[in-house]
Amino acid sequence: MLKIDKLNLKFKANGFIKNLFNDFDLSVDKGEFICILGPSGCGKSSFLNILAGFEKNYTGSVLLNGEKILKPDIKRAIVFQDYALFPWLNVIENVSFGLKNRISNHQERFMQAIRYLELVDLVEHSRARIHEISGGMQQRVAIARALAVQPEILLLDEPLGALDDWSRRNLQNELIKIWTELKQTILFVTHSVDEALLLASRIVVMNVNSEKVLDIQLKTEHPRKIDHPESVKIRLLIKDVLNQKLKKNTQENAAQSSSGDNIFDPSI
Amino acid sequence: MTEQSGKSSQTRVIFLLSLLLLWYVICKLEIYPNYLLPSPAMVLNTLKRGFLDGAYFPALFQSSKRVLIGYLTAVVIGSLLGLAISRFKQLSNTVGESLTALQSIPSVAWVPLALLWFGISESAVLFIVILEAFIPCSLGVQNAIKNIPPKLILAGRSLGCESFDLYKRIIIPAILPQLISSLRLSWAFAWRALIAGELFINGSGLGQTLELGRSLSDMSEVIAMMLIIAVIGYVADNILFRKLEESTNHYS
Ligand SMILES: Nc1ncnc2c1ncn2[C@@H]1O[C@H](COP(=O)(O)OP(=O)(O)OP(=O)(O)O)[C@@H](O)[C@H]1O
Ligand SMILES: [Mg+2]
Repeated sequence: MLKIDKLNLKFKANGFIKNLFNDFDLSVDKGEFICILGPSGCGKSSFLNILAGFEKNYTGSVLLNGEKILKPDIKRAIVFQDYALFPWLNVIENVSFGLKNRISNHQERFMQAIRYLELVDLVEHSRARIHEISGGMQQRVAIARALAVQPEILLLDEPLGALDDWSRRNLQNELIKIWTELKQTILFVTHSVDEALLLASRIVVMNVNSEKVLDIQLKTEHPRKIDHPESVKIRLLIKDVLNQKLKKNTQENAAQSSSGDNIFDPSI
Repeated sequence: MTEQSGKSSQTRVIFLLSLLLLWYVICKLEIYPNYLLPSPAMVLNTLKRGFLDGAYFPALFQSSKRVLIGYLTAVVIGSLLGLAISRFKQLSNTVGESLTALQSIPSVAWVPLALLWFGISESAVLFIVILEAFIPCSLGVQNAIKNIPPKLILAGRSLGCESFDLYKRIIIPAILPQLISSLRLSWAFAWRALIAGELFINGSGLGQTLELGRSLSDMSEVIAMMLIIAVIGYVADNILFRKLEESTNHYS
Protein backbone atom coordinates (compact mmCIF):
# COMPACT_ATOMS: atom_id res chain seq x y z
CA MET A 1 0.00 0.00 0.00
CA LEU A 2 2.74 2.43 1.01
CA LYS A 3 5.98 1.92 -0.83
CA ILE A 4 9.16 3.82 -0.14
CA ASP A 5 12.23 3.30 -2.29
CA LYS A 6 15.68 4.84 -2.08
CA LEU A 7 14.47 7.75 0.01
CA ASN A 8 16.90 10.61 0.58
CA LEU A 9 16.29 14.01 2.06
CA LYS A 10 18.92 16.67 1.52
CA PHE A 11 18.87 19.90 3.48
CA LYS A 12 21.22 22.69 4.43
CA ALA A 13 22.29 22.97 8.04
CA ASN A 14 24.92 25.52 9.11
CA GLY A 15 25.99 25.91 5.52
CA PHE A 16 26.61 22.19 5.08
CA ILE A 17 24.46 19.99 2.93
CA LYS A 18 23.28 17.07 5.00
CA ASN A 19 21.57 13.93 3.88
CA LEU A 20 18.99 11.99 5.83
CA PHE A 21 17.77 8.44 5.08
CA ASN A 22 20.58 7.20 2.83
CA ASP A 23 18.42 5.18 0.42
CA PHE A 24 15.79 4.24 2.98
CA ASP A 25 13.32 1.53 1.91
CA LEU A 26 10.09 0.51 3.54
CA SER A 27 6.90 -1.06 2.38
CA VAL A 28 3.78 -1.01 4.47
CA ASP A 29 0.80 -3.30 3.93
CA LYS A 30 -2.77 -2.36 4.58
CA GLY A 31 -3.76 -2.87 8.22
CA GLU A 32 -0.26 -2.90 9.67
CA PHE A 33 0.50 -1.13 12.92
CA ILE A 34 4.11 -0.11 12.55
CA CYS A 35 6.07 1.44 15.39
CA ILE A 36 9.21 3.31 14.43
CA LEU A 37 11.96 3.49 17.02
CA GLY A 38 15.23 5.34 16.82
CA PRO A 39 17.55 7.72 18.63
CA SER A 40 16.69 11.39 18.81
CA GLY A 41 17.54 13.26 15.63
CA CYS A 42 17.61 10.18 13.40
CA GLY A 43 14.84 11.60 11.22
CA LYS A 44 11.63 10.01 12.49
CA SER A 45 9.67 13.28 12.40
CA SER A 46 11.17 14.18 9.04
CA PHE A 47 10.04 10.80 7.75
CA LEU A 48 6.46 11.37 8.88
CA ASN A 49 6.57 14.90 7.46
CA ILE A 50 7.47 13.47 4.08
CA LEU A 51 4.62 10.99 4.29
CA ALA A 52 2.22 13.73 5.38
CA GLY A 53 3.25 15.72 2.30
CA PHE A 54 4.77 18.67 4.16
CA GLU A 55 8.24 17.99 2.79
CA LYS A 56 8.43 17.52 -0.93
CA ASN A 57 12.13 18.10 -1.58
CA TYR A 58 13.07 14.48 -1.14
CA THR A 59 14.50 12.15 -3.75
CA GLY A 60 13.52 8.57 -4.33
CA SER A 61 10.01 7.31 -4.59
CA VAL A 62 7.30 7.53 -1.97
CA LEU A 63 4.08 6.04 -3.22
CA LEU A 64 0.73 5.57 -1.52
CA ASN A 65 -1.33 3.17 -3.62
CA GLY A 66 0.89 4.02 -6.55
CA GLU A 67 0.40 7.75 -6.15
CA LYS A 68 3.42 9.95 -5.49
CA ILE A 69 3.22 11.90 -2.24
CA LEU A 70 3.93 15.57 -2.91
CA LYS A 71 1.40 17.50 -0.89
CA PRO A 72 -0.83 17.07 2.15
CA ASP A 73 -4.02 15.12 1.65
CA ILE A 74 -6.72 13.75 3.91
CA LYS A 75 -5.70 10.27 2.79
CA ARG A 76 -2.79 10.72 5.15
CA ALA A 77 -3.79 12.12 8.53
CA ILE A 78 -1.21 13.17 11.11
CA VAL A 79 -1.27 13.52 14.89
CA PHE A 80 1.43 15.53 16.64
CA GLN A 81 2.86 15.25 20.11
CA ASP A 82 1.43 18.64 21.09
CA TYR A 83 -2.08 17.89 19.75
CA ALA A 84 -2.32 21.00 17.48
CA LEU A 85 -6.05 21.36 18.04
CA PHE A 86 -7.79 24.53 16.92
CA PRO A 87 -8.52 26.52 20.09
CA TRP A 88 -11.23 28.64 18.46
CA LEU A 89 -13.34 25.54 17.84
CA ASN A 90 -14.91 23.21 20.37
CA VAL A 91 -14.31 19.47 20.51
CA ILE A 92 -16.81 18.35 17.91
CA GLU A 93 -15.98 21.20 15.56
CA ASN A 94 -12.37 20.13 15.73
CA VAL A 95 -13.24 16.54 14.93
CA SER A 96 -15.47 17.49 11.99
CA PHE A 97 -12.95 20.02 10.63
CA GLY A 98 -11.57 17.77 7.91
CA LEU A 99 -15.03 16.67 6.75
CA LYS A 100 -15.98 20.11 5.48
CA ASN A 101 -15.11 19.43 1.86
CA ARG A 102 -16.46 15.92 1.91
CA ILE A 103 -19.82 16.24 3.65
CA SER A 104 -21.67 19.45 2.88
CA ASN A 105 -24.48 18.97 5.38
CA HIS A 106 -23.57 20.35 8.78
CA GLN A 107 -25.75 17.87 10.63
CA GLU A 108 -24.31 14.85 8.84
CA ARG A 109 -20.83 16.13 9.49
CA PHE A 110 -21.52 16.22 13.21
CA MET A 111 -23.05 12.73 13.09
CA GLN A 112 -19.87 11.39 11.57
CA ALA A 113 -17.76 13.27 14.11
CA ILE A 114 -19.84 11.82 16.95
CA ARG A 115 -19.03 8.32 15.75
CA TYR A 116 -15.34 9.01 16.18
CA LEU A 117 -15.85 10.77 19.49
CA GLU A 118 -17.57 7.59 20.66
CA LEU A 119 -14.56 5.61 19.59
CA VAL A 120 -12.32 7.67 21.89
CA ASP A 121 -14.95 7.94 24.67
CA LEU A 122 -15.44 11.67 24.44
CA VAL A 123 -19.06 12.08 23.38
CA GLU A 124 -20.08 13.75 26.62
CA HIS A 125 -17.39 16.37 26.04
CA SER A 126 -18.32 17.13 22.47
CA ARG A 127 -19.29 20.74 23.23
CA ALA A 128 -16.33 21.46 25.52
CA ARG A 129 -13.77 24.08 24.60
CA ILE A 130 -10.28 22.74 23.99
CA HIS A 131 -8.67 24.45 26.97
CA GLU A 132 -11.30 23.00 29.28
CA ILE A 133 -10.19 19.40 28.80
CA SER A 134 -7.06 17.55 29.95
CA GLY A 135 -4.01 16.81 27.82
CA GLY A 136 -5.00 13.18 27.47
CA MET A 137 -8.45 14.14 26.27
CA GLN A 138 -6.98 16.69 23.88
CA GLN A 139 -4.85 14.01 22.32
CA ARG A 140 -7.92 11.80 21.97
CA VAL A 141 -9.67 14.65 20.19
CA ALA A 142 -6.68 14.98 17.87
CA ILE A 143 -6.80 11.26 17.12
CA ALA A 144 -10.55 11.41 16.50
CA ARG A 145 -10.04 14.41 14.21
CA ALA A 146 -7.47 12.48 12.21
CA LEU A 147 -9.58 9.32 12.03
CA ALA A 148 -12.78 11.15 11.10
CA VAL A 149 -11.53 11.82 7.57
CA GLN A 150 -11.06 8.05 7.21
CA PRO A 151 -7.46 8.24 6.08
CA GLU A 152 -5.73 5.37 4.35
CA ILE A 153 -2.89 5.76 6.79
CA LEU A 154 -2.68 7.37 10.21
CA LEU A 155 0.65 8.99 11.08
CA LEU A 156 1.41 9.59 14.74
CA ASP A 157 4.54 11.46 15.87
CA GLU A 158 5.21 10.58 19.50
CA PRO A 159 1.56 11.19 20.29
CA LEU A 160 1.78 10.01 23.88
CA GLY A 161 5.12 11.64 24.70
CA ALA A 162 3.64 14.58 26.58
CA LEU A 163 1.14 12.60 28.67
CA ASP A 164 1.25 11.27 32.22
CA ASP A 165 1.55 7.50 32.74
CA TRP A 166 -2.12 6.97 33.39
CA SER A 167 -3.34 8.82 30.29
CA ARG A 168 -0.65 7.17 28.25
CA ARG A 169 -1.78 3.69 29.24
CA ASN A 170 -5.37 4.66 28.55
CA LEU A 171 -4.54 5.95 25.12
CA GLN A 172 -2.45 2.90 24.29
CA ASN A 173 -5.54 0.80 24.90
CA GLU A 174 -7.63 3.17 22.79
CA LEU A 175 -5.15 2.81 19.95
CA ILE A 176 -5.26 -0.96 20.14
CA LYS A 177 -9.04 -0.75 20.09
CA ILE A 178 -8.99 1.59 17.09
CA TRP A 179 -6.57 -0.63 15.25
CA THR A 180 -8.52 -3.82 15.85
CA GLU A 181 -11.93 -2.26 15.19
CA LEU A 182 -11.12 -0.13 12.15
CA LYS A 183 -8.25 -2.16 10.72
CA GLN A 184 -6.61 1.23 10.40
CA THR A 185 -3.11 1.29 8.94
CA ILE A 186 -0.93 3.08 11.47
CA LEU A 187 2.60 4.47 11.46
CA PHE A 188 3.56 5.32 15.00
CA VAL A 189 6.78 7.03 16.08
CA THR A 190 7.80 6.52 19.67
CA HIS A 191 10.79 6.71 21.99
CA SER A 192 9.60 3.88 24.17
CA VAL A 193 10.57 0.31 23.33
CA ASP A 194 7.90 -1.01 25.71
CA GLU A 195 5.24 1.06 24.04
CA ALA A 196 6.22 -0.34 20.68
CA LEU A 197 6.14 -3.88 22.07
CA LEU A 198 2.69 -3.28 23.49
CA LEU A 199 1.18 -1.83 20.33
CA ALA A 200 2.93 -2.76 17.12
CA SER A 201 2.30 -5.50 14.66
CA ARG A 202 5.71 -4.64 13.29
CA ILE A 203 8.63 -2.69 14.69
CA VAL A 204 11.13 -0.77 12.60
CA VAL A 205 14.28 0.47 14.30
CA MET A 206 16.44 3.21 12.82
CA ASN A 207 19.97 4.17 13.82
CA VAL A 208 21.56 7.59 14.10
CA ASN A 209 22.36 7.55 10.41
CA SER A 210 18.67 6.98 9.70
CA GLU A 211 19.31 3.53 8.32
CA LYS A 212 16.87 0.73 9.00
CA VAL A 213 18.67 -1.64 11.37
CA LEU A 214 15.79 -3.83 12.48
CA ASP A 215 12.44 -4.78 11.02
CA ILE A 216 10.47 -7.32 13.05
CA GLN A 217 6.96 -8.72 12.86
CA LEU A 218 5.17 -9.29 16.18
CA LYS A 219 2.83 -12.25 16.31
CA THR A 220 1.31 -12.00 19.80
CA GLU A 221 -2.37 -11.08 20.00
CA HIS A 222 -3.52 -7.90 21.73
CA PRO A 223 -3.86 -7.11 24.57
CA ARG A 224 -0.28 -8.00 25.30
CA LYS A 225 1.58 -8.61 28.48
CA ILE A 226 4.86 -6.81 28.82
CA ASP A 227 6.53 -10.04 30.06
CA HIS A 228 5.26 -12.21 27.25
CA PRO A 229 8.15 -14.38 25.97
CA GLU A 230 8.02 -12.84 22.50
CA SER A 231 8.13 -9.33 23.95
CA VAL A 232 11.02 -10.22 26.24
CA LYS A 233 12.96 -11.70 23.35
CA ILE A 234 12.37 -8.76 21.03
CA ARG A 235 13.06 -6.21 23.73
CA LEU A 236 16.48 -7.78 24.25
CA LEU A 237 17.10 -7.77 20.53
CA ILE A 238 16.17 -4.08 20.17
CA LYS A 239 18.15 -2.99 23.20
CA ASP A 240 21.08 -4.99 21.88
CA VAL A 241 20.93 -3.33 18.49
CA LEU A 242 20.52 0.14 19.95
CA ASN A 243 23.31 -0.39 22.47
CA GLN A 244 25.64 -1.87 19.89
CA LYS A 245 25.14 1.09 17.65
CA LEU A 246 25.51 3.41 20.59
CA LYS A 247 28.69 1.70 21.70
CA LYS A 248 30.09 1.77 18.21
CA ASN A 249 29.28 5.45 17.97
CA THR A 250 30.78 6.38 21.28
CA GLN A 251 33.88 4.41 20.32
CA GLU A 252 34.07 6.28 17.06
CA ASN A 253 33.49 9.55 18.85
CA ALA A 254 36.07 8.70 21.45
CA ALA A 255 38.57 7.81 18.76
CA GLN A 256 37.84 11.02 16.91
CA SER A 257 37.96 13.22 19.95
CA SER A 258 41.14 11.65 21.28
CA SER A 259 42.89 12.14 17.98
CA GLY A 260 41.43 15.64 18.03
CA ASP A 261 42.91 16.18 21.46
CA ASN A 262 46.31 15.14 20.24
CA ILE A 263 46.25 17.70 17.54
CA PHE A 264 44.47 20.63 19.14
CA ASP A 265 45.07 20.40 22.84
CA PRO A 266 47.58 23.19 23.58
CA SER A 267 48.62 21.51 26.81
CA ILE A 268 50.38 18.74 24.92
CA MET B 1 -21.51 40.82 37.49
CA THR B 2 -19.34 39.67 40.38
CA GLU B 3 -18.90 41.32 43.73
CA GLN B 4 -15.30 42.09 42.87
CA SER B 5 -16.07 44.05 39.71
CA GLY B 6 -18.74 45.95 41.64
CA LYS B 7 -16.16 46.89 44.19
CA SER B 8 -13.59 48.00 41.61
CA SER B 9 -16.14 50.20 39.87
CA GLN B 10 -16.93 51.68 43.28
CA THR B 11 -13.29 52.64 43.81
CA ARG B 12 -13.24 54.07 40.32
CA VAL B 13 -16.17 56.36 41.05
CA ILE B 14 -14.60 57.46 44.34
CA PHE B 15 -11.35 58.23 42.55
CA LEU B 16 -13.07 60.36 39.91
CA LEU B 17 -15.08 62.20 42.54
CA SER B 18 -11.92 63.01 44.50
CA LEU B 19 -10.29 64.37 41.37
CA LEU B 20 -13.31 66.56 40.83
CA LEU B 21 -13.18 67.64 44.46
CA LEU B 22 -9.50 68.53 44.13
CA TRP B 23 -10.27 70.62 41.06
CA TYR B 24 -13.12 72.29 42.92
CA VAL B 25 -10.96 73.09 45.95
CA ILE B 26 -8.16 74.54 43.85
CA CYS B 27 -10.66 76.86 42.17
CA LYS B 28 -12.28 77.79 45.48
CA LEU B 29 -8.89 78.73 46.90
CA GLU B 30 -8.42 81.00 43.89
CA ILE B 31 -4.85 79.87 43.35
CA TYR B 32 -5.23 80.46 39.63
CA PRO B 33 -7.47 83.05 38.00
CA ASN B 34 -10.69 81.79 36.40
CA TYR B 35 -9.56 82.43 32.88
CA LEU B 36 -6.62 80.08 33.40
CA LEU B 37 -8.43 77.37 35.29
CA PRO B 38 -12.22 77.54 35.06
CA SER B 39 -14.15 75.87 37.85
CA PRO B 40 -16.03 72.58 37.40
CA ALA B 41 -19.30 74.52 37.52
CA MET B 42 -18.19 76.77 34.64
CA VAL B 43 -17.22 73.81 32.52
CA LEU B 44 -20.47 72.05 33.36
CA ASN B 45 -22.34 75.15 32.29
CA THR B 46 -20.49 75.30 29.02
CA LEU B 47 -21.26 71.64 28.39
CA LYS B 48 -24.93 72.14 29.22
CA ARG B 49 -25.20 75.15 26.94
CA GLY B 50 -23.36 73.37 24.15
CA PHE B 51 -25.66 70.38 24.24
CA LEU B 52 -28.92 72.28 24.91
CA ASP B 53 -28.22 74.81 22.15
CA GLY B 54 -27.37 71.91 19.93
CA ALA B 55 -24.08 73.57 19.03
CA TYR B 56 -22.08 70.44 19.88
CA PHE B 57 -24.07 68.04 17.78
CA PRO B 58 -22.77 69.01 14.35
CA ALA B 59 -19.24 68.91 15.79
CA LEU B 60 -19.81 65.45 17.24
CA PHE B 61 -21.40 64.24 14.04
CA GLN B 62 -18.66 65.59 11.77
CA SER B 63 -15.87 64.26 13.94
CA SER B 64 -17.47 60.83 14.25
CA LYS B 65 -18.00 60.67 10.51
CA ARG B 66 -14.40 61.62 9.81
CA VAL B 67 -12.91 59.22 12.29
CA LEU B 68 -15.12 56.33 11.17
CA ILE B 69 -14.32 56.80 7.49
CA GLY B 70 -10.63 57.21 8.23
CA TYR B 71 -10.51 54.36 10.71
CA LEU B 72 -12.37 51.85 8.55
CA THR B 73 -10.23 52.69 5.53
CA ALA B 74 -7.12 52.32 7.65
CA VAL B 75 -8.25 48.98 9.04
CA VAL B 76 -8.94 47.56 5.60
CA ILE B 77 -5.63 48.81 4.20
CA GLY B 78 -3.73 47.78 7.32
CA SER B 79 -5.12 44.25 7.53
CA LEU B 80 -4.66 43.52 3.85
CA LEU B 81 -1.15 44.93 3.91
CA GLY B 82 -0.38 42.87 7.02
CA LEU B 83 -1.59 39.71 5.29
CA ALA B 84 0.36 40.53 2.15
CA ILE B 85 3.55 41.29 4.05
CA SER B 86 3.31 38.01 5.94
CA ARG B 87 2.78 36.15 2.70
CA PHE B 88 5.57 37.62 0.61
CA LYS B 89 9.08 37.77 1.97
CA GLN B 90 10.12 40.53 -0.43
CA LEU B 91 7.39 42.79 0.95
CA SER B 92 8.34 42.05 4.50
CA ASN B 93 11.98 43.00 3.88
CA THR B 94 11.01 46.30 2.29
CA VAL B 95 7.61 47.66 3.27
CA GLY B 96 7.47 45.74 6.54
CA GLU B 97 10.69 47.28 7.79
CA SER B 98 9.77 50.84 6.91
CA LEU B 99 6.42 50.62 8.68
CA THR B 100 8.10 50.51 12.05
CA ALA B 101 10.05 53.64 11.20
CA LEU B 102 6.92 55.31 9.93
CA GLN B 103 5.14 54.50 13.15
CA SER B 104 7.57 56.57 15.18
CA ILE B 105 6.47 59.76 13.42
CA PRO B 106 3.70 61.38 15.51
CA SER B 107 0.62 62.50 13.62
CA VAL B 108 1.20 66.24 14.08
CA ALA B 109 4.47 65.92 12.21
CA TRP B 110 2.42 65.03 9.13
CA VAL B 111 0.21 68.11 9.40
CA PRO B 112 2.39 70.51 7.37
CA LEU B 113 2.67 68.09 4.47
CA ALA B 114 -0.99 67.11 4.68
CA LEU B 115 -2.10 70.74 4.56
CA LEU B 116 0.20 71.42 1.63
CA TRP B 117 -1.00 68.40 -0.34
CA PHE B 118 -4.68 68.47 0.47
CA GLY B 119 -5.30 72.08 1.52
CA ILE B 120 -6.96 73.12 4.75
CA SER B 121 -9.61 70.51 4.26
CA GLU B 122 -11.30 67.37 5.39
CA SER B 123 -9.04 65.26 3.17
CA ALA B 124 -6.00 66.45 5.08
CA VAL B 125 -7.49 65.14 8.32
CA LEU B 126 -8.51 61.85 6.72
CA PHE B 127 -5.00 61.47 5.35
CA ILE B 128 -3.51 61.88 8.81
CA VAL B 129 -6.02 59.55 10.45
CA ILE B 130 -5.49 56.81 7.88
CA LEU B 131 -1.74 57.17 7.99
CA GLU B 132 -1.72 56.89 11.77
CA ALA B 133 -4.21 54.09 12.11
CA PHE B 134 -3.19 51.62 9.41
CA ILE B 135 0.28 51.00 10.81
CA PRO B 136 -0.59 49.41 14.17
CA CYS B 137 -3.16 47.31 12.38
CA SER B 138 -0.71 46.09 9.78
CA LEU B 139 2.06 45.42 12.30
CA GLY B 140 -0.43 43.64 14.55
CA VAL B 141 -1.60 41.33 11.78
CA GLN B 142 1.98 40.51 10.77
CA ASN B 143 2.91 39.74 14.33
CA ALA B 144 -0.17 37.64 14.92
CA ILE B 145 0.51 35.55 11.84
CA LYS B 146 4.11 35.05 12.90
CA ASN B 147 2.84 33.76 16.23
CA ILE B 148 0.53 31.08 14.86
CA PRO B 149 1.94 27.72 15.97
CA PRO B 150 3.28 26.14 12.74
CA LYS B 151 1.70 22.82 13.70
CA LEU B 152 -1.76 24.40 13.43
CA ILE B 153 -1.07 25.30 9.82
CA LEU B 154 0.28 21.82 9.12
CA ALA B 155 -2.73 20.21 10.81
CA GLY B 156 -5.05 22.40 8.73
CA ARG B 157 -3.26 21.54 5.51
CA SER B 158 -3.34 17.83 6.15
CA LEU B 159 -7.06 18.11 6.86
CA GLY B 160 -7.66 19.49 3.40
CA CYS B 161 -7.13 23.26 3.71
CA GLU B 162 -5.05 24.91 1.03
CA SER B 163 -4.59 28.54 -0.08
CA PHE B 164 -7.84 30.48 0.37
CA ASP B 165 -9.35 27.89 2.72
CA LEU B 166 -6.23 28.02 4.82
CA TYR B 167 -6.78 31.76 5.35
CA LYS B 168 -10.48 31.44 5.94
CA ARG B 169 -10.45 28.45 8.25
CA ILE B 170 -7.09 28.60 9.99
CA ILE B 171 -5.14 31.85 9.69
CA ILE B 172 -7.94 34.37 10.23
CA PRO B 173 -9.56 32.55 13.19
CA ALA B 174 -6.15 31.93 14.71
CA ILE B 175 -5.19 35.61 14.62
CA LEU B 176 -8.61 36.97 15.55
CA PRO B 177 -7.89 37.80 19.21
CA GLN B 178 -4.68 39.60 18.27
CA LEU B 179 -6.44 41.24 15.35
CA ILE B 180 -9.03 42.74 17.68
CA SER B 181 -6.25 44.02 19.92
CA SER B 182 -4.61 45.73 16.98
CA LEU B 183 -7.95 47.17 15.91
CA ARG B 184 -8.20 48.62 19.38
CA LEU B 185 -4.75 50.12 19.16
CA SER B 186 -5.51 51.46 15.70
CA TRP B 187 -8.62 53.08 17.07
CA ALA B 188 -6.65 54.90 19.76
CA PHE B 189 -4.24 56.17 17.12
CA ALA B 190 -7.07 57.21 14.80
CA TRP B 191 -8.86 59.13 17.50
CA ARG B 192 -5.78 61.10 18.51
CA ALA B 193 -4.80 61.80 14.93
CA LEU B 194 -8.32 63.05 14.26
CA ILE B 195 -8.21 65.64 17.02
CA ALA B 196 -4.67 66.69 16.12
CA GLY B 197 -5.68 67.13 12.49
CA GLU B 198 -8.90 68.96 13.24
CA LEU B 199 -7.05 71.65 15.20
CA PHE B 200 -5.70 72.89 11.89
CA ILE B 201 -8.70 72.86 9.60
CA ASN B 202 -11.93 74.79 9.23
CA GLY B 203 -15.49 73.54 9.51
CA SER B 204 -17.18 71.81 12.33
CA GLY B 205 -15.68 69.18 14.63
CA LEU B 206 -14.47 68.56 18.16
CA GLY B 207 -10.92 69.63 17.37
CA GLN B 208 -12.14 72.80 15.67
CA THR B 209 -14.37 73.69 18.61
CA LEU B 210 -11.45 73.20 20.94
CA GLU B 211 -9.25 75.37 18.76
CA LEU B 212 -11.98 78.00 18.64
CA GLY B 213 -12.14 77.97 22.44
CA ARG B 214 -8.41 78.54 22.52
CA SER B 215 -8.53 81.48 20.13
CA LEU B 216 -11.30 83.10 22.23
CA SER B 217 -9.40 82.32 25.45
CA ASP B 218 -12.44 80.36 26.56
CA MET B 219 -10.82 77.65 28.66
CA SER B 220 -14.20 76.26 29.76
CA GLU B 221 -14.84 75.39 26.14
CA VAL B 222 -11.39 73.87 25.77
CA ILE B 223 -11.83 71.72 28.86
CA ALA B 224 -15.39 70.78 27.87
CA MET B 225 -14.06 69.49 24.53
CA MET B 226 -11.21 67.65 26.21
CA LEU B 227 -13.74 65.94 28.45
CA ILE B 228 -15.90 64.91 25.50
CA ILE B 229 -12.84 63.60 23.65
CA ALA B 230 -11.77 61.62 26.70
CA VAL B 231 -15.22 60.16 27.29
CA ILE B 232 -15.67 59.04 23.70
CA GLY B 233 -12.17 57.61 23.63
CA TYR B 234 -12.82 55.77 26.87
CA VAL B 235 -16.17 54.37 25.85
CA ALA B 236 -14.83 53.06 22.55
CA ASP B 237 -11.63 51.66 23.97
CA ASN B 238 -12.64 50.30 27.31
CA ILE B 239 -16.17 49.25 26.68
CA LEU B 240 -16.61 48.47 23.01
CA PHE B 241 -13.22 47.01 22.20
CA ARG B 242 -12.80 45.29 25.53
CA LYS B 243 -16.07 43.46 25.07
CA LEU B 244 -14.96 42.44 21.59
CA GLU B 245 -11.62 41.24 22.87
CA GLU B 246 -13.24 39.18 25.57
CA SER B 247 -15.72 37.60 23.21
CA THR B 248 -13.04 36.57 20.72
CA ASN B 249 -10.56 35.22 23.24
CA HIS B 250 -9.93 31.55 22.49
CA TYR B 251 -9.55 30.71 26.13
CA SER B 252 -12.61 32.27 27.69
N1 LIG C 1 14.41 20.97 6.45
C1 LIG C 1 15.36 20.80 7.38
N2 LIG C 1 16.24 21.79 7.60
C2 LIG C 1 17.20 21.65 8.52
N3 LIG C 1 17.38 20.57 9.28
C3 LIG C 1 16.53 19.55 9.11
C4 LIG C 1 15.48 19.61 8.16
N4 LIG C 1 14.79 18.48 8.23
C5 LIG C 1 15.41 17.72 9.18
N5 LIG C 1 16.44 18.36 9.71
C6 LIG C 1 17.37 17.80 10.71
O1 LIG C 1 17.32 16.42 10.58
C7 LIG C 1 17.49 15.79 11.81
C8 LIG C 1 16.34 14.85 12.09
O2 LIG C 1 15.26 15.56 12.64
P1 LIG C 1 13.92 14.87 13.10
O3 LIG C 1 13.13 15.90 13.80
O4 LIG C 1 13.28 14.21 11.96
O5 LIG C 1 14.44 13.78 14.13
P2 LIG C 1 13.60 12.86 15.09
O6 LIG C 1 14.06 11.48 14.85
O7 LIG C 1 12.16 13.13 14.94
O8 LIG C 1 14.10 13.33 16.51
P3 LIG C 1 13.31 13.33 17.89
O9 LIG C 1 13.29 11.91 18.35
O10 LIG C 1 14.13 14.20 18.76
O11 LIG C 1 11.95 13.89 17.62
C9 LIG C 1 17.62 16.88 12.83
O12 LIG C 1 18.99 17.06 13.11
C10 LIG C 1 17.03 18.07 12.13
O13 LIG C 1 17.61 19.24 12.62
MG1 LIG D 1 10.63 13.96 16.25
